[in-house]
This record gives sequence, C-alpha cells and structure tokens, in this order.
Amino acid sequence: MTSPEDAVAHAALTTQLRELSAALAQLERARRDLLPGPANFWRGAARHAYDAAIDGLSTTVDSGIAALRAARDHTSAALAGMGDRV
Amino acid sequence: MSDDLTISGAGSAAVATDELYANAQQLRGLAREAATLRMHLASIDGLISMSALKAAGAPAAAARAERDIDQARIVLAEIEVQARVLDFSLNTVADGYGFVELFVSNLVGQFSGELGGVLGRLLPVLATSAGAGGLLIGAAAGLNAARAGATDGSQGTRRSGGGGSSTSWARENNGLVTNPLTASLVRTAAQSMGDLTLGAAGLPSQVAGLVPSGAAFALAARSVMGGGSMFGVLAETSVRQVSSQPQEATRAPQGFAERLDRVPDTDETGGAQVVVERYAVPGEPDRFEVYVAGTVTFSPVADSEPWDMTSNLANAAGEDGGSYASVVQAMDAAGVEPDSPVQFTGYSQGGGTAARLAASGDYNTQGLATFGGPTGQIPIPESVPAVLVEHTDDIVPALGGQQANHAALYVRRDVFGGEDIPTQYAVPAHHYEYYQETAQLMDQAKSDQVTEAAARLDGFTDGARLVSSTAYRYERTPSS
Repeated sequence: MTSPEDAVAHAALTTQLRELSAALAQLERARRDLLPGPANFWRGAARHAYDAAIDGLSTTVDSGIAALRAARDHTSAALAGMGDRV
Repeated sequence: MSDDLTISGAGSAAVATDELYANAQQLRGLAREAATLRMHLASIDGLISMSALKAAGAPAAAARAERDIDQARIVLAEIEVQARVLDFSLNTVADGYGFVELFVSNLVGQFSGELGGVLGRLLPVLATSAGAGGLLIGAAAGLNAARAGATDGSQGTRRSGGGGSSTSWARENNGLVTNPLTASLVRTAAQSMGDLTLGAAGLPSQVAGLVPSGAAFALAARSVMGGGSMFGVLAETSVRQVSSQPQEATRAPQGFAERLDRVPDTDETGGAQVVVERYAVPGEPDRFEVYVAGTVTFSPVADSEPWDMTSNLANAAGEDGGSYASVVQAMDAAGVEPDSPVQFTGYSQGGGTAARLAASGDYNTQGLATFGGPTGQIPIPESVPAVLVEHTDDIVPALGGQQANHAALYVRRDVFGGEDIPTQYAVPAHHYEYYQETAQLMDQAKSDQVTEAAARLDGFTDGARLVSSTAYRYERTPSS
C-alpha cells in the first residue's frame, strides 16, 4: 500500500529528475557553444592571462556539469530505491 | 595574410577585432545561460523539502541530490560572475583601444593641422602649391599604381580598368605604399590640406580651428581643382548616357561578397560604370540597389571618361563631379523617385561617389556599403546605416582623410600584416581581389556589429522580387 507521503515524494523526485536532465543538457550545450576558445587577438602576457582565465571558466563550467550530473544520478537512485514501495 | 577584422564605429568609441567581440558575445551568452539555469535550479529545489523527503522515508540518495543541487547553484553563480568579469574586461579593452586611437588621432590631427596652418600663413604660395601638388601627386601616384595593379591582375575580376601600364619598379617596390604607416601619413597629410589652405588664405589659427574639418578638407580639394583648371586639368564637364544594357541577375545579393561582386567591372560591362537593380515589393514603392564602379582612368585631364581624377577630386570637394552626375542620371533613367528606397554600394571611387549620394539627402537612402572608398570626410548622415570597409595598408581610402563617420560601422583589415607583398601589383592592398577576400571574411564574421549590418543590408530586399538589372555607361560631353 502506497502512503500519501511516498506518492508525493515520488512525484516530486520524478519531476526533479526530468528537470535536472534538461538543465544538464542545457549547461552541456552552453559549454559547447558559448565557451570561447583560446584567443588569437592578443599576444604575449595578455594572451596568456586571457587564456588562463578562459581555462578557469572552463573548469568552473565542468564543475557545474559534474554537480548537475551528480544531482540527476542521485535523484535517479532515490527514485529506484523508492520504486519497490510505490 | 591577416584575417583579423578590426571593428569600430556604429555609434561606439570602442575598437576591437571581430573575434574579440564574438568572444565577448559568447561570454555574455554563457552568463545569461548560467543565470537562467540558477533560477531553474531554485524552482527544482523547491519541489520537495528535506523534511518531506524524511517523512516519506526517501533513500539517502535523495538527500545527496538536494546537496548536489545546492552545490550546482553555487557553481552556476560562479560561472555567471566569471563570464561577466571576462566580458567586461574585453569590452574595457575595446573601449581602451578606441580611446587611445581617438586620442592619438586627435593629437596627430591637431599637430598636423597647426603645422599646416603655420606653413600656409608663412609661405602661402609655396605651401599651397606644394600641398596641392603633394595631394595631387599622392592621389595620382597612388591611384595610378592601384589602377596599374588592377590592370595587371592575372586573376579575379578588375573593377578599375583603364589604359596604360605601371612600371615594374613600382610593382617591385610596392612595400613602401603597402604599409599602414604610409597610409596613416597619407591620411594625415590629406587631412591637414584643409588647415594648410585656410592658413594660406590668411585665417588666424583660432578662426581656422572653428572650421569643421570636413569643410576645410572640401575647401582644399576645391582649391586644387581651381588651381588645376587654370592649367586645363581637373575641370568638370557635363555627362551624357552612352548606353544602357540589361544585366543577368536572378536574385538580390546575400552577404558582403555577393554585394561587392555586383559592382560593375568596366572591362566586362562594355565600359558601363553603374548598375541599378529594381525590386518590386507588393504594396510598396519599388526599391533600388545601386552599384558604382571604381576609377577607370587616372588622367587629370577631364577627357571622355567620367570615372577619372577630376571626379575623385570633385567627390572630395563635395561637388557634383562627372561620376556623381552620371549615377544621378542613371538612377533617374532607372525610375528612382525621391522617395524610392535606395541602397548604394561602391568600390574605390565608387565608394566615395556612393557616400556622396547618400550624404546628399536627395534620396531615400536605406543603406550604404563602400569598399576602399575615400569616404573619411564625406558627412554621411547618422540616420543612414553605413558600412565602410578599408584596408589599413591601402593608401587610396587614406586620401579621403580621417574617418569622421563614427555612426557608420567601420571595418578595417591589415591585408598583408608584415607578410610578403605580391609584386604583380603596384598597390596590392587596394586591389579588388583583396577587398573581395575581406568581404568574404566579413560574411564569416561572428560579431553582432558585422552580422547585424549584413542582415540590415540584405533585409532591404527581403520579400522583394528582382524586376530588372541595368548597366549604364556614361561619358563626359566634349567641352566647347
């Protein structure tokens, strides 16, 4: 017998899984399309500094993707764990 | 060969490459995406509380997912901040470049203007003749070399044909004229001609300083024409239509390269210097695209060809020269009414003529594109969307003086950028094929400034049907 609390939590986590999957896809798309490549418009120290900053931003975007992926996977695991009861 | 396009104008003081602007746009887009996603995650986070999960006895993974969402929100905020800081830095650099360029340009202009004024006052006759001669020689040498380069072209089309030939010396030593520094000096010299003329006229520098630079520049060109006419050169004449031929065209041009390709090549059009395309739009007046050729002959004597040095000087003087009058007649013959929407495209002298037509206020000008035209001191109304393309190592547009049309999109390219200069052309940086190359680079550009300008020019014929395309040839009428 499914409790009302279980049903609410299951529905919320199902929505969360769908929304997190969409958010992850959106951030991965942004990484592909909106993260600039190395600069050709500068030389020397300015180019080095700019490229380093872009590398830093790239790492931050990757962290964001990792956090979203973990959130999606944990949500999926939670849903699987509740599956037996719902 | 440099593929970098430097973008400025369009109402902004900033100067930067297309790539820099495109990177800044990407960063702005990334910051926007991060902000949107952060708000999205906030709403996901609110779907169910930790207490509700506990009450439902949800597995531990559900709590971990909540923590991951919180972490993702923090990281997205970091992405947004980092992207905005980088975008701001790029724009600050562009503003800085623009400021320095404007500062140096004003400083050089002020110095050369004052020097010109002093020379003009101290040695009026010498200064005027030397200045006028210098401008003429510079113009003639530069344009002659450009023409020679054009006629020597072994590939591509020739937009500025004409007789004669350049010496091999000029081609083998073309490095001197194919240099941004030389072009800059020519630009400064051309610009200071106005002050020199005012000084020679005896105007105190305080008064001369009040004269707009465009007016002083035009006055100098008029002085050169006036002086030349005393010796039987640079004297304007009337013009008449020799022929009009239908052209093959099935659709409107798309992009800068196709647009430039519509500019008539007088060697291929039987000497026709103007092409007018007529478009029909349901429920609206017909609209017209007008394409104007470059200089055809470089003789200072106004013979039969209106696309000559006299017209070049007349454009600088703000007067109705032979090429200007010819295009006016061609437009009239094509059925252009004062309220007909019109767009002008010109190469070299055609660029200067097109800019003068747009500046005249006699037409309902909806757009202007010039390639290698001496347009700097032609006051193009800010209301006219204009794209002015110049090579920084091309001395021909430099003859038009400092570029004062700051509302126009100003696209520059250093064609050879310190690399080997081909010796088959005397002034390769002015050669049509390199402007065609630049137009292709503009078609591949990603910055909003360039893509929006292209869309605006192309949008002129959106939903329009090409009715006709006619090439017109004009000649000067013999003076009696």
